[in-house]
Amino acid sequence: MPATVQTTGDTSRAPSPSDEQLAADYQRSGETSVLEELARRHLPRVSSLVSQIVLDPAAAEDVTQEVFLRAFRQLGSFRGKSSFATWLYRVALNTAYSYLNRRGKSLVEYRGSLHGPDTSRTSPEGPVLEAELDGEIQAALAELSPKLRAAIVLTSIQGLKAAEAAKIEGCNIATMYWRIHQARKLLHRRLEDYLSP
Amino acid sequence: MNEHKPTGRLDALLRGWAERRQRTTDSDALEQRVIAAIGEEASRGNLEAPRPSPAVVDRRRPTRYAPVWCAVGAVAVAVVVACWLLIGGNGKAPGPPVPDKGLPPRFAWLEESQLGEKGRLIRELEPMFDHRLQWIAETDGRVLLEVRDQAVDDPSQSSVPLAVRIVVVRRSPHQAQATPVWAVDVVARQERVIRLSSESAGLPEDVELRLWAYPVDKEMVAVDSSLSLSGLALDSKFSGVQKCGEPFAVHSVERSGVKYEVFQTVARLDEET
Repeated sequence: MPATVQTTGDTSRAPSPSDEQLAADYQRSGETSVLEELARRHLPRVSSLVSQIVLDPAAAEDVTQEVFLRAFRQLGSFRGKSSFATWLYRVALNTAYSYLNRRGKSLVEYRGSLHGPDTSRTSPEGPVLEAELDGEIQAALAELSPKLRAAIVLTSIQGLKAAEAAKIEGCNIATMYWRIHQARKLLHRRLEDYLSP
Repeated sequence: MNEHKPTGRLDALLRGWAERRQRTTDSDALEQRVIAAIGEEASRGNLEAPRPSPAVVDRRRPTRYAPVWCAVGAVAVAVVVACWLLIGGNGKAPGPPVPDKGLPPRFAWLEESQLGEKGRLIRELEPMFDHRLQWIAETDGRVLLEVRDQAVDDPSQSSVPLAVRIVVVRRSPHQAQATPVWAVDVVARQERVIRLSSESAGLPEDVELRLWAYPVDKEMVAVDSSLSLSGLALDSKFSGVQKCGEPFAVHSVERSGVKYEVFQTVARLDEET
């Protein structure tokens, strides 16, 4: 998944306005279509981030919707100190944490099917082995605390640098380095069988 | 945001998992759902109303008024310096007693005897609650516990119990000593997410506390904390590493000459304490 923000629209005309310009436009005009445009731009990345933190596909859709509603309700608090994407992903993480807290535990069970329809397309080992691997990865991620999980998801899967991940989390970079280190250590231990060459 | 792809075997495994997972998501349906929800929310008037002045500063636009603001800023600095010289800087103005600046108040420290009691408390309560105990907090003369439905993750020996004390103090101009306004002691194992609010705990004050801590080594602990006391309009946020046992001023605000400070102290509750 690309880490840069993808914009939509007819690129043969004027360049698309930036997220920050759109946010300012909405604050001036109150046009809902502006919010829809912002949602379209960021939906793929936000939904994947939420899904990787929440680890429950059905709940992830609810949480993703909640992220955008929560963000747009408090758009006035966006002051442009960070990029809109950073601010939005911070809202996404906080919403995911709130969900995990409401649910009362961060551990989730693997609910995937061993015979999912798409698993055979890229796996030379076949669908069952790949589904087993996915189950192990999901279980390993579920065993991490939400903060450690977010650290590894933001950097290793979403492809952000530690400094950017720290900005999103609102923590300092030393803390983020430490979380990444801890998460990787625990995952290496948990997924040892799949990591040996 | 910049793309940065780590290239280890673990990263490849994780990205493969994420890609397969993403393929099972119906993106179009989700987009329709979210867009519809935005429309409904807007029609109910629940979305942020347009502001009279733009909240977002487009930094690429030329700032016509920059020279004016510079001038105003210079005057303001001159006034502040003049006031400082006239009122406080000359040392002649009658002043209040000098408070114990630089020294955290006595009650911000976690004493050895208190640490011993807290360590014993968590070790006795954990098995009593079948390792479902998430955290213990003491505030306003009450002891609060969070107990989960199932055993809390990772109650292993490597998980260190920690004690965190957060104290809000007031220093008024005529008081030499700080007086405590609000305080909480939290005991939990490392990396527990502690959320304490007046709503959830039935506290009389309008309080919201979030806390997460992890011992980096024997001396230092990484702490993320956020404390909001609505009654005092006080919002304190801290994210960093602090030394065990030493109170650290994480927030300070002054209103009408009264200074409010938030001190945070963290300590390990290793077996020997």
